[in-house]
Amino acid sequence: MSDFIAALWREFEAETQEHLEAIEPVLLTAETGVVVTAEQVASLFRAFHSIKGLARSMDLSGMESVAHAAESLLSLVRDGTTPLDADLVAVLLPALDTLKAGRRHALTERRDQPAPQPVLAALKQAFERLGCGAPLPTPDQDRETGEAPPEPEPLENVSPREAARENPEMLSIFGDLLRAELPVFTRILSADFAQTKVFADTLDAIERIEHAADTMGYYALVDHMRALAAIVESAEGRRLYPDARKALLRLLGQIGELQKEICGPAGPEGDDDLISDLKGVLGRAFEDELHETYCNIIQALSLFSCEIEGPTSPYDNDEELAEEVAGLARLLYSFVLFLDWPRAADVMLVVEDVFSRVAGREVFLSGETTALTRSALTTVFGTVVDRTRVPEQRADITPEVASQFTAEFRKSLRNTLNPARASLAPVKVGQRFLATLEIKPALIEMLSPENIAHIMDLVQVGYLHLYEVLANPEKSPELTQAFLAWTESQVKPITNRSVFIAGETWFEFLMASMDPPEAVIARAAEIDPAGSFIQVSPCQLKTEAAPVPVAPAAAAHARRAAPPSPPPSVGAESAVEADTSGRGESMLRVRGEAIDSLLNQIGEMISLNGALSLTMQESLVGSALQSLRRGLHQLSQDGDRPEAEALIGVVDVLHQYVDRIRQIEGNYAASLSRLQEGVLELRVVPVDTVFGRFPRVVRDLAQHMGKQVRLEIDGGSVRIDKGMVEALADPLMHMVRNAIDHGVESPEQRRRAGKAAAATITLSASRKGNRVMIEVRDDGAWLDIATVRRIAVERGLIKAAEAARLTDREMCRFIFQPGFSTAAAVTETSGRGVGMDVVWTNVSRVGGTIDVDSETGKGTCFILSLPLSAAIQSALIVAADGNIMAIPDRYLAETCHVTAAEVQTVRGQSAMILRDQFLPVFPLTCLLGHPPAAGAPTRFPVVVIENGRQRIGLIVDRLYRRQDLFVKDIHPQLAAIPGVGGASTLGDGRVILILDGDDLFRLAEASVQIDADGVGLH
Amino acid sequence: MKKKVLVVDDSMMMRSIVIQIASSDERFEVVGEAANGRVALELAQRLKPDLILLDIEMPEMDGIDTLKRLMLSSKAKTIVISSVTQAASLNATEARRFGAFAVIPKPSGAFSLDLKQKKSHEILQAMCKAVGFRSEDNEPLPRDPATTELALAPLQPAYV
Repeated sequence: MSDFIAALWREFEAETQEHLEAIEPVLLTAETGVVVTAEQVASLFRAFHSIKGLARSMDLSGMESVAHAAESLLSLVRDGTTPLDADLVAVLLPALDTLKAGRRHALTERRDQPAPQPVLAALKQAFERLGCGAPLPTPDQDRETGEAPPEPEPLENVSPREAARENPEMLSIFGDLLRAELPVFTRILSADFAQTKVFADTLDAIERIEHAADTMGYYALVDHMRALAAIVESAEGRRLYPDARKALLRLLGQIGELQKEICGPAGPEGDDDLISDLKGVLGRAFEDELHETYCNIIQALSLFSCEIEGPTSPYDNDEELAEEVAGLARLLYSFVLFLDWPRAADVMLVVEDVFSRVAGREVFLSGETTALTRSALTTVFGTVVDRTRVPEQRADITPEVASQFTAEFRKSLRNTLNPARASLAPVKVGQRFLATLEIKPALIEMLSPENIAHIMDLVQVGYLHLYEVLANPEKSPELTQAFLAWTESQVKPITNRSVFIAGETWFEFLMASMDPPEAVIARAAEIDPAGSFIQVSPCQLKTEAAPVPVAPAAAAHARRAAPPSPPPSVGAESAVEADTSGRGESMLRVRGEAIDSLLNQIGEMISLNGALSLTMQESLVGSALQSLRRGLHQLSQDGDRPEAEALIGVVDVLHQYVDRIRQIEGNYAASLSRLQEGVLELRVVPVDTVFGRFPRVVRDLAQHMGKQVRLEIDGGSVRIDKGMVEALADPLMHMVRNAIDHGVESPEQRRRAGKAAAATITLSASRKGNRVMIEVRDDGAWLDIATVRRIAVERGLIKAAEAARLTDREMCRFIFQPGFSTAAAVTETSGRGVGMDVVWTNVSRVGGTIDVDSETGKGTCFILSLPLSAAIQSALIVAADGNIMAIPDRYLAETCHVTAAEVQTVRGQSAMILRDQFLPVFPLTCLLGHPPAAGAPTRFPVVVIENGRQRIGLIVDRLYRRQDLFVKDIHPQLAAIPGVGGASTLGDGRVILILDGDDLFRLAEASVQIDADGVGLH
Repeated sequence: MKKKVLVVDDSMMMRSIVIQIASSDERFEVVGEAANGRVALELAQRLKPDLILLDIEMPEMDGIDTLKRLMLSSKAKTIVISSVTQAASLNATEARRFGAFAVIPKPSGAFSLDLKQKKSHEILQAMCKAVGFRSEDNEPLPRDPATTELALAPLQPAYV
């Protein structure tokens, strides 16, 4: 129970927050005099109403009474008694604040906080004033004496039935219900009606219509539904064409009658449409479904592999597709029955039979069969699907045509009979392998899929050689014995057949052995020294074994990925739409941690997959196979070892395997990254979640400081990672406060400067590639560059000469220096100097950058550029002193290679000149506290990093590549090590540390102060 | 056979409370919950509940509208559970006109989510009546001893 209560508090916290956030923007809009819409008022009312209910269930009567009063006031707005104007907002805003405070108090203390009397009094007064003197009912009053205990019996003089019949809205709901349910009856006509689900759906629909008709008092329809239910139930899984046709015809008649009934009370106009719709649905359903089914089956046929790869691949059984085609054929069968075409029905039955057998792997599907099917379908349905033909031109096929098709189907069935149902996966590969060898066609033909699978199993364990053996061991018992012993030890017989040679019965075997031909031939000679009863001939590699491409199969699969959608029953669209819109509403509230841990897991999978793809790319398998193949080729040519040729076939099989694995790995990687994107998307929220707080802040601050500020928000629907939202809230707040406090002038000052009295602050968000840009722009006076320049020089942050050289924009960056301030006075809202450096730190912590653009007197614009997700950062991977580390992209300025001579030591500090600029350089390992490596190389890479104010060079051993890294939290002890910002895993599973650029600058500064004291970093 | 119950309220918290109350009697089983009328209609068709506990003020499709449709599309008895407002008394009449079996105020005081409490008990009573169970009017269900612990329950982190 305590868990339950704790869960309730969590819900309370989340839901009240949601409602409170929804209220504020509407009130602020209304305050400016903008007329709010009826929906906005309704949602406002609902928000207060919900807060009231939530507070009530947690026994927070303070909050409850305030929310109740506010809700009552809004009910006056809702019913049009009074507009939502500034006066009303002035009463409602304090109520909102009281609710916020009450909520905070409740969440920490879990106790009620009585509502402040002035707020309540104001609400009460407003209600009495606006509500024509009616007193505000107190919620307590409601609670005790409000509603009389409800009567379970319906009210006396109005029965629900009458209420329903008299209410035009109920009539139209009834019409909607009929419109949604009636199309199901068209399914009665189709053969899949026998399926349990369709059968059950139909019964359900009948029951629902019966219930609704009963509620509405349409008893004739009730009776008919009962009759229809009886027919359907009697079917119990068997097809019921004649009955169903009659029943449906009767239903059409019934609806005609119903129309008259409904027209009575509701007026004929609107309902005429409804009825004709229904008639149309039933009338058209047949034609439409037939047409769609026909198109679907034709399309399905073209997807079979034998259609794509040509008729040479009889083993390509596409079971699922065959199942689908069989189902469609069954449906078509029912249509021709409906048309009273018995002969066409026969043909359709045969088609269904063939494809059911294909699905059951009893037969293979050949291109011949699909062609035959297509021709049968065209012949039967040609006149029907051609909508230009009039019904009179349609007719059943002739008996001759029907029997011809039936015969041809039977023939093709015989041709493609599957001798055994074997697992077909290795068979295809095996066939390709066998196709590379010279084997007697007669023997090949005898191979069942099982045999082929067997061969491949043997090949895999080392039986690399195939032989055709002709033997007649039955001549003597000894020979038979020896032969049998041989086949049990060194060779594995795959298949055999009898052949007649010169009046004698011989056996021809296909055998596999681990031994090369000479050994096998020698062994055969041992058994039969005369060579008169056993003849061994190795299966040679074909001179030009055409490589069998893998691609078409993959293409077939790709096309299969988008199978034809099953024909939606006509008229069901409205039901489907309602369905989806309903589903869209069902929201799940998920703990953020759950998504994070999911994301972590996916990150791990991506790393593992990276390891796999790295192995596939870098592994020597491919090249090893290549050289093996070359070696074998050489051997067969120069070494005159023909068995090497056979081995080449094996190598090719392996090659295909490797290619296939590569292909799968590629698809897998792509699907993983889609998965990752999907989950990242779960963490994404509109920027409005941050921006939404500002209207109130700006309003309050501006009032407080006697300034006039208009806030404009743009692009609030741009979506951003939730982690980013948390990191952004404070920096943005700081910038906006700064802008109001220092940027915006007083109204008089603004007028004197020729500007509008009200300043404008714009918050805007936009998406640029994979970054989100957020701008905070004001049209005030702040950021006087001259002052920035002066102060920077005064503080010794930059030399005067250098300051003069920097552009205004570059100068702006100095405001991010710790303790930097241009303001004369420290005010309550923004303590001077403290802050912008914190903004910088916060933004860069999540991988963002910040830029300032200011034109004296015209305003300032801060531009934040943020990655889409805080969880993934792009970084440069480097090696230093044997360790692999990552430097986040956002710090990277450039990389270069320098020689040892270019680095000079000035007063203990190593430095180099980079494009005429002095650049202090540090061995990365030294910064991280390792001893300098002995024996420095003569040439090494330098990574130049910058943080907007400083640039330093880091000497590393090697540069690898740039890569997106999934940043993981690391152990706090590890995180405490200066310079370390996070960790990730590389594709090969190695853990890599991600460096923190800011830390590196601090470390560099520290080492400069220790090593030498004249050289600054600028 | 347990009686199947569908709970409809836009507040997840309210749903939790109502579900807690409804499932305190083991003859009832809550088979689904919906946040608005549209979803409720869909679920009523799919789950075929015996009883629907329905809120009035909801976004998307409100309780009265839902009730009208449920009346035709579901055989379930419907109990309207609604906050008491001025408008609600009008709503109550309207609700009963369109087939609501009973109209009951929302429960208050989850702190004392003690089933002896009048409002909670009232809901169960109406539920029993609606499906024809004998309601144990004078025998309140045993008090859950864990209720007293709730003051100690720690504050959990907020949801997404």
